[in-house]
Amino acid sequence: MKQISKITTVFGIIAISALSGCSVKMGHVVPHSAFVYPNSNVKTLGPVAAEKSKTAFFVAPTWEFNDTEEVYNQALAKANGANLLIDYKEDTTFSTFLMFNTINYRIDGTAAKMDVGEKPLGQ
Amino acid sequence: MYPLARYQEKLRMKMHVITSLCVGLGAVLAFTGCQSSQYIDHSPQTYFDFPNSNVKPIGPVKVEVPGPSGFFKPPDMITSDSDQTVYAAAIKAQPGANLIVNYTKIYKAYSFFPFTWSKLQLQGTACSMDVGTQVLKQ
Repeated sequence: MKQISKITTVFGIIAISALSGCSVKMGHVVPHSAFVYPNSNVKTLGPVAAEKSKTAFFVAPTWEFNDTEEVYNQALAKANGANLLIDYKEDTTFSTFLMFNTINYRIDGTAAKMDVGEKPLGQ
Repeated sequence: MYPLARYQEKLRMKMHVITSLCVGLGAVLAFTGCQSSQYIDHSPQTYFDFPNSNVKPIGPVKVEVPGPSGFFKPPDMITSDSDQTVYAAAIKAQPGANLIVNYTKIYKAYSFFPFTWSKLQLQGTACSMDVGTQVLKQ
């Protein structure tokens, strides 16, 4: 009976651990999403955010370049005329729960419009 | 005492001393905490600098703030929230500043099972950025 009780306890702990899942988040604040021409004027348009998630069973989901492009385009589309993101948070969360693995990529910052011109230079 | 009993008594005492030493060392380590990892980054600027602006340095800044903590897992300290927290503390430390340039940040994680915690440090130059409009040919 004692043996069965010990085995049951161990399995119980493993089950609780498996059911609770695990999540890891990494990210940073990025000053600008694209090259900013020194011969330009930049005007802020307002806050925007976008995210995308991908889930796979048993294996890690694959994240491609176009997935990142899609998120940036979604964020820019939320502000009319925006062609740049500035001072934005960029975070990637990898979570796992009952063999389901999910990647979530999120950006949250300020949309801006960059007007490129030409500034007079002395020689 | 019989020789065997004397030997067993000596062994029991040795085990007791070794166990006490291990428990003591463990308690010292547990109470002081152990630094488990570090993240170091050197970057030119914390925030976007408008090309249509004038940036003026104000002075050096150095800050340390508590970071995120965890339970049974390492703290999620390398995140945008940590960056925002330490950048805000650095800006606040220098009146008139709205940008930090040429900075180094160090994020340190500590653990005392099952608890984990972190510290966020930043050192750099605080600046004031005044945004305007530059005259450009179209």
